[in-house]
Amino acid sequence: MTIATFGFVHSTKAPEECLWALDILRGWGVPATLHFVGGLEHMSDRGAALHALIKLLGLSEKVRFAEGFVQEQTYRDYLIGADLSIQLRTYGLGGLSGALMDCAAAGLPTVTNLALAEAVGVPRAYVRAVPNEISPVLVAEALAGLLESGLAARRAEAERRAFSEARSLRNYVRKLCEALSLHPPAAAVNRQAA
Amino acid sequence: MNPLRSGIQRVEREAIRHWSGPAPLIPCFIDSEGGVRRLPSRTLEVLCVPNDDPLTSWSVEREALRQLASASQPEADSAVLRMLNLELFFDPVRADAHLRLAAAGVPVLWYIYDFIPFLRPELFPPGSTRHCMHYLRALRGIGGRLAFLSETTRSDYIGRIARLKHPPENAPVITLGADGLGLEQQTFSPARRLFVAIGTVEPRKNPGPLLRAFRQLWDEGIAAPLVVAGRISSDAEDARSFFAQHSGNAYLTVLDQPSDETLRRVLRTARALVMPSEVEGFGLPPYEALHAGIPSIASAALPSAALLQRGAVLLQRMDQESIAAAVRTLLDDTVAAQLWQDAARARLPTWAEFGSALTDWARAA
Repeated sequence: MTIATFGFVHSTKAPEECLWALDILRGWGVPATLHFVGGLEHMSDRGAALHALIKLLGLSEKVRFAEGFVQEQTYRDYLIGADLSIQLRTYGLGGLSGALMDCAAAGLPTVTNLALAEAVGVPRAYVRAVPNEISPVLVAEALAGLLESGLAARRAEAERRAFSEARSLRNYVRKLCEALSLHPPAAAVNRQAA
Repeated sequence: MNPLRSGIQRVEREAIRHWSGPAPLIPCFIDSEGGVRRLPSRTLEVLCVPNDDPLTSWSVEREALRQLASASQPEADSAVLRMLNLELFFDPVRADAHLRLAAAGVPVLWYIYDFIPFLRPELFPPGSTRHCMHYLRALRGIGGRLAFLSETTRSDYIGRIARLKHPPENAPVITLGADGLGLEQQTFSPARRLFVAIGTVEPRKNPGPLLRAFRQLWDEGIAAPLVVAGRISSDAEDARSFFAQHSGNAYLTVLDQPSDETLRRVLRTARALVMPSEVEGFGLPPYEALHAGIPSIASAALPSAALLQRGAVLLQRMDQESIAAAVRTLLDDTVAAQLWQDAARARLPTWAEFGSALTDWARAA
C-alpha cells in the first residue's frame, strides 16, 4: 500500500503529521508505506528531525524521500502507481497546490485539508478534506476511509474525467477570454489548449 | 496546579483520597531523563488538603510540591510493581518511560479522559495535535490495561483510536463522583434567581452564545442574573471585552478562579447552572450541580449528559437563541419547581464509589 505525497518537503506541508498518520495506519494493520515525492533540501535542518521521528516510530523501512529534483517521469509514475496521496498545508489564506491538482486530475484518492480543498476546488468523490488544524488521527482515518471505499483499487474514472474537463486548459482559456471580453474563434482556443 | 481543582486534578486528588487498597499508592513522577522518582508519602497529604485551606492556594501548594519533588529518590524500574497513570501528558520522555516499564513486564494502567485533541483539532491552535502524539504512541504500546472516563471516550478508543474489532476485556468506564463540591442538598425557592456558569472561560468552551443570550434577555428587560465562575483564559478576548463592557451591570458577576467555598456559596442561591460548552471530556459542573439537586442547562452532546436525564434541560445546540429560550423557560417558577423535583430524584455516583471502582480495576487489570 503506497501513499505518496508530492512536492518538495517543507514544514508548511505537515510532513511530521504525515509520518504520525502512517504510524497510526500501520497500527491499524494497514501495510502502508509513505513516499515523499520531493526532496528534503528545503527543510531548515535537511530533514534531521523527520529522520529522528522516523527512527523513533520504527518506520525506517517504510518511508522514502526523493533525492534532489524529481524527474517528471518519476512524478507521473507515482501519480499513476500510488494507492493514495496526502497533500497538506499548515496555512490557509488561499494557498494553492499544483500537486493536489495533479492528484485530482489523475484520479488519485487523496487526503488534503479543508482550506486547500476549497482553494483548489477538488472533487470530493475521491479527495477527502480534514480540518486545517491537522490531526494525524483524522488524516489516517480519512486515508483508511478511502481504502475502505475501494477508491484505491478502482479509481473514480467518471468523476476524474469530469474534473479534468472542467479544469482543462481549454476551459481556462475560454473563461479567461470571457473575463476579458475577448471572443476568439473556437479554433484558436483549441490550438492554444493543445 | 489550578486552584479550581477541576478536571484531571480533581480526579487525581479524589482517587488518592478514596483509594481503598490494600496495596498503597506510592506517589512518583518521571524525571526529565525518563527515570522514575519516588516522592515522599506526604505528597499525598498535600494533594488531599481541602481546597479551602490556605495551604492549597496556588503558590503555597506549588512550593510545597517543589520541596517534596526535591526530596524525591530514584526508583529502579525493577522496584515498580504497577504503574497507575491518571495524568494526561504529551512529553516523549514520559511516553518512553511508560513504554520501557511495560516492556519490562510492569503492568502499566491508564485512566483515559478523552481524545478531543486528536478528534476535534479545530478547537485548538494549528499544530497543537502534532505535539500530543506521544500520548497515543505510548497508549498503543503499554499493553491495553485501560479504564475510561466515559462511554464516549471508550467508544472513541475502540472505534477510532485503536480500531479494535472486539471491545477490550476489563477496560471499564469508571464514572466520576458527583459530590466533589461538598454541597448539601438544595431545595427550590422562587427567590432563587441566579444562573451560574462554572468552568474555564475560553473560546473552545463556547462562552460567546451564553453571554450574548444573557445580554439579549437583559435588553428585553428580563431580570436574569448571571455569575460566571472560573479561570478566564488569556485567549478569551471576546469574553474579557464583554465583561469590561458590563462591569457596572448588576446582573453580571465574574468570579475569576473561585475557591470551592465560593462556588458553594454561589450555588446556594442558584436557580440553575448553565454550561455552554459542547465539547468536553465529561462535563463535570452540571453533574456536580445535579448531585446537590440543582438543575442545569447543558449540551446533549456532553458525555455526562447520559447521566443528566433527570433535572436538566439538554439542548441540541448551545447557541444564543437556544440558551436564551431555556433560561426564559426556567424563570417560570412552575417549570423550575418541576425541574427541581426531577433533580431531587437523581442519584449519581460519589467519589468514594469512584475510588472503590478504580481500586478494583487496578487490582484486577
